[in-house]
Amino acid sequence: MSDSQDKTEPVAADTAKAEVQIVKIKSRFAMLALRDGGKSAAALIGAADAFLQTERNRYHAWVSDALQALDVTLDQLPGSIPEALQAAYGQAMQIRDLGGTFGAPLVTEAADSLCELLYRLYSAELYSHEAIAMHQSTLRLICAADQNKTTPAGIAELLAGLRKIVARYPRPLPPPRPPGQSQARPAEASH
Amino acid sequence: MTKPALNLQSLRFLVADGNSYFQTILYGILHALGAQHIAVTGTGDEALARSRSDVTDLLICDWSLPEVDGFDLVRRIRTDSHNPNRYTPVIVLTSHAQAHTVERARDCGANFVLAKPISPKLLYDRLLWIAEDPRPFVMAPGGYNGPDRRFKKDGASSVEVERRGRPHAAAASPVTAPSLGPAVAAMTLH
Repeated sequence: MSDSQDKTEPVAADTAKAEVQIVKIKSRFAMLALRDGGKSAAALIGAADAFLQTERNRYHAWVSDALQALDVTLDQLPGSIPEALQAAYGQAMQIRDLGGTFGAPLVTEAADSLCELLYRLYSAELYSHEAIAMHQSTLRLICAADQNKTTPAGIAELLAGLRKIVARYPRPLPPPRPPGQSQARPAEASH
Repeated sequence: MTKPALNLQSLRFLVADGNSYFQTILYGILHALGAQHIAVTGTGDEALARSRSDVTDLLICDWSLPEVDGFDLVRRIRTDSHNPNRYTPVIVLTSHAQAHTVERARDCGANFVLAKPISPKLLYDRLLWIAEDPRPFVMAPGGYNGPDRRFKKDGASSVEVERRGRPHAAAASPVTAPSLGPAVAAMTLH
């Protein structure tokens, strides 16, 4: 039994729903996480930021691998376009998310654009190898430059170009929303 | 104002994420924040099995886990009276900060849903929030099981969240329009 359960005590009972129990719980996490002896927040966050810096080279390698995996996914075409786009969308999201964690805003922006493109293609049941490949090339260029702690020349124009590519495909309108629901993105469609 | 110091040394973490590289990163961040006991798994099934066999002090899981998704994982833990981690705080990570994703996380019994990308500062703030979170636990047979969803506290919603490379303020309520994660900050559960 978890330590947290040792600290339960009933605090209320709704007479209309007598079976519902509301208990006060102080979890072990809450009991121990604020004990004396911890380092300052600044020191801990600084250590975690330093860890990310040491990981940066591996992160670049991971993006490169992820882009290759994306190629493999899309090579599964034809015959499974929605599935491939859905899987590719999930992979692009991972690139985007880790770009944010590693403080790589250009990677994040290009990957975000790729996510949006894949979402629009998926929604419209379309496919454009060129549009996707342009995003992948831009991401590779950005990563290569980031490894050298530089910014690719003309990056603003490149990113603007990606936005124009994405704009060629219509953004789907959300369907009428039943209470408590909204349109699902590709990666959520299976759930 | 100085943030309170967290002492995570003796606490046991379980991280569940289908992306092995993200597992490494989250492990590294938690370790740098002082955690010494971190178990990692890549599937919802394995996370569920671990939750039944090992006591965990904090579960961090991605919503899109293979086999058993993050929401289902949390729901199963919360509704199993024999699970030693029934009341364990849970953070659900998601790449989708859309309203319905946040609502699903809230309704499965998670303490927090955190939109990726995460940063050390963001994670620290959320751990601190959970450590100070006084919410009681609701158990409704056949219904909701988890932290009280009705709470008022000026905590994370007032924290300025600086996402790496993209500064955004934390949102206090779910967004209503379809959105691609980074444009939306962490969601608190109400």
